[in-house]
Amino acid sequence: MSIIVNLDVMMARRKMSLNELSEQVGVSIVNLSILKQSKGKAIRFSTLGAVCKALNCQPGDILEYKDDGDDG
Amino acid sequence: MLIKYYLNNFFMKKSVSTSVIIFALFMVVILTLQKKAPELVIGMAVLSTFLFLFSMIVRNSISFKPYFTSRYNVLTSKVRHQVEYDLPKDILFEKMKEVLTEAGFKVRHADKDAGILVATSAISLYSWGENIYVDITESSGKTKVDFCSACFFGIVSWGRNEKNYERMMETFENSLII
Repeated sequence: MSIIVNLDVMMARRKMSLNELSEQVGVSIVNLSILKQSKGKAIRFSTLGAVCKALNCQPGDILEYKDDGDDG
Repeated sequence: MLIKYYLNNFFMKKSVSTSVIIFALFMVVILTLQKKAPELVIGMAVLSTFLFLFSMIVRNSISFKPYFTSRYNVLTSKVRHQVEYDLPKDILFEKMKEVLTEAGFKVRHADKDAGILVATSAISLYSWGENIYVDITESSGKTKVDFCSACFFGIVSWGRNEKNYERMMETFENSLII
């Protein structure tokens, strides 16, 4: 996948657990785990905004585009 | 088996008028039989009642999963599907549990270690409800989800088993938009 979710990196920087983030963002731990592993299909702006607010960061800190050479 | 397949396909596209016609035909057969062989009709009614009550009692028990899912049990129409995901088993288990509830099923049994989920659908005008069995297993880096929707009581599912699978998959796909 070209878009990589660096949620675990930001969580480690902020020393925040998945439970804490789940409580602050209002998204279940299961969904955050899926997001963290870049297995989600899409992310809502509202979720992205809430995560950025909780982690005090920018969307670019969480999402990263990586060119994997796959045209499809 | 072929007849069951065609009947299921037929009922998948059923409308209210189709159901009324089928019900009317059924009633005609029953009334004709009642005149010619009343003992047979009574016997069938007693047997049906017994099987219905038996199914009702054992429905929520995991011990009777083989009874409902067995391919030799012609009294319960069933549909099976297998899907593969590259998500860890424990996460997928929790996700499936969440999805089943969101899709309108009632989770009756959940065993995280064994990766077994048992749920039931609601009773409606057209159905006595179906039993949903979800088995989550991990093998060679992939997580397999075995889905089985079995009629609680009925030789023909009226397309409800397929609809249950579609409903669950649709809810699962939608739930990946976080």
